[in-house]
Amino acid sequence: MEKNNLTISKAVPFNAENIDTDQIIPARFLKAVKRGDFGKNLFRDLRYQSGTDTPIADFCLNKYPGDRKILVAGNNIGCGSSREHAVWALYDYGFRVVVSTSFADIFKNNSFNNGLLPLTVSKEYLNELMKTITENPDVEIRVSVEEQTITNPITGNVFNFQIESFRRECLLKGFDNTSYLLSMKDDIVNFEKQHTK
Amino acid sequence: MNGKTLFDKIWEKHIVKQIPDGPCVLFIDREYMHEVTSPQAFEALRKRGIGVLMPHRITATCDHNVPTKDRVRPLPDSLSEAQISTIEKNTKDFGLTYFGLDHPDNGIVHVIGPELGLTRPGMTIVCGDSHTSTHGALGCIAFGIGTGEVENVTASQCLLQYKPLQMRITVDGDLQKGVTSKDLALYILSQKGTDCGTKRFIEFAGQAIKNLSVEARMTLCNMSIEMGARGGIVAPDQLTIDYVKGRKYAPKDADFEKAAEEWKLLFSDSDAKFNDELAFDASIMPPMITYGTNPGMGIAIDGVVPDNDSIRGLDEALKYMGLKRGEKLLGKPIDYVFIGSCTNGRIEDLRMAAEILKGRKIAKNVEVLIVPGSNEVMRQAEREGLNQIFKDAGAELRLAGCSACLAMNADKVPAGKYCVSTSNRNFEGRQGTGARTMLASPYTAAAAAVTGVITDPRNFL
Repeated sequence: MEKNNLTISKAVPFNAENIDTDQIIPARFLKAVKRGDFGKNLFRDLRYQSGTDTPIADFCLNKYPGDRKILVAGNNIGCGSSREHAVWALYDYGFRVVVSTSFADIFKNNSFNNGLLPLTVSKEYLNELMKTITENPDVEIRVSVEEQTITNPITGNVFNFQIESFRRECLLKGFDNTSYLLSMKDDIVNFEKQHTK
Repeated sequence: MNGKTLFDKIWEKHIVKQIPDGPCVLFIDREYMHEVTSPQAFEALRKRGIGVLMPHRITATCDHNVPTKDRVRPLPDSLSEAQISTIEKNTKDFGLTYFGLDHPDNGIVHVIGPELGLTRPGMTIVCGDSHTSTHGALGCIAFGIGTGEVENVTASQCLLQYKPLQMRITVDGDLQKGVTSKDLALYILSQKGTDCGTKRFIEFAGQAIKNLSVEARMTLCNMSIEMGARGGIVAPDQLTIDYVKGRKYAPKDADFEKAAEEWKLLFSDSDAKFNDELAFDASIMPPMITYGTNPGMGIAIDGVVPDNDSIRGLDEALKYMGLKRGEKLLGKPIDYVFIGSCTNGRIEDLRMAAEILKGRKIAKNVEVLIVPGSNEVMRQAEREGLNQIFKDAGAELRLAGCSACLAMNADKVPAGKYCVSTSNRNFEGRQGTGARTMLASPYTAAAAAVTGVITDPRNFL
């Protein structure tokens, strides 16, 4: 897993609530075996006209093209099926931060475990951020995992978000669960020696 | 300060590190593997360029899609053959113990673990299979995990875990004749539903549980997952110690005596606190059978299908099952009987079936599949003459495996057909597309095999 510390990037505003994992990556794309290939089908059915590669101009990914690492979404993103592919699709597309007022539980865990920061803000802050990006599509939002802050440069408002210190450490060091556990290999080997005495 | 639960005592002994404001790093004494949920974990290890940290703590088998008629390679089903070849290669490449298709210790992972003495009291045990809960019957913390976690354990022998909530189900009184621990589990499920244990680990306690054999406790703990729990556990006692003693991989002599002394300390303190407590009276429990499409939809064998709007999904379930509200199940013709699985595929289960089938013939309209849970169960059945009883009755005795419990191999129930099954799940399509599963004990399944209709097994006992 790659480190995720400081993100300064343009953002995509997706002003809808309850964006479920089926919308994020439809079930028919789950068969792909290689990681890295899911981004092209992110939001497939919202993004392209049915059965074609013709973009739907109004959809946020098409309206706000280019290199954007931050997705700003309405309440309760990631609900529905537990598929980890939803997180892979967002990550493969290039997102490193998803901002919302709440996240579905499994989606949130999967995000942390893949280096995608699920960033919870207040309703007021989200609304303001959504407005800022819509009005200034090229504004760069600053997110720091180290400081646990997100900054809206237009209004100057900073929001202090909370993440478990363990999760924060994993993002900063680029540790997924396996890498975290492997970093404790010596402790684990010693534990076994004591344990089996 | 409160006392500790049995679960607390084992859990705390396995914490390598409690991460402040986070999960704990939990040491896993034993990981079991099978062919279906392990390939991606090995793929991930290869990608990282790492090996298995503690190969001596991992045991692999193949069970989910093995054929039960003959095992000539390559297997006729190419996907099954691919999965089995993959686990053969993976266990070889990574130096793991593997009880393959032609190995004398092969069998269903949750049957062979206890049988070989690999599962022992006080352990933490995981496997990429929800019915890992079975092993809790010996007084260990055993639970199913996802493939990402299989990767974690295989790489590091640890898991990142938050401690689950704890529930105790106390069952007192005596189970009546013809009523088994399967009925006990189906009874609890019928009363409390398939979500009564969600986010919880369940300790089963009380005199009725103490009176159960270790194998009967396995059936109960196996079904704890159907209650929504992460797992079930029973405090080890003299029965447990006697069960483990002398098994192939169990410690021997002085080592065993020392271990047994420690196992005796594994019980919930009298002042231990649980998040929830439930209590049941075993003496009022009847033989049970399910009428619907989840294991909570069960009734007494001589009861009627409920006419109750508060049961969620009742009409959809009855439509699938071809049953009506208020319908009596006794006397209803059935087509298949399946005796086996990690729930009821052990020697005691086959003995129960034989008790009823002895000297009787199976009904003409019924196909009966008896599938031992392991090669050892098969050999034991042979030694005890059970095989002959089954043959004389006209039942088909198969080779060991998961078989018709989940129909990943050729053992399927055709659409619309009724199967009285000793397995654990009656979900739509579980035993084959459109198959209608009725869960019951080995007694009840064998009784239906003899009469060809749903029958109260107590008539034969």
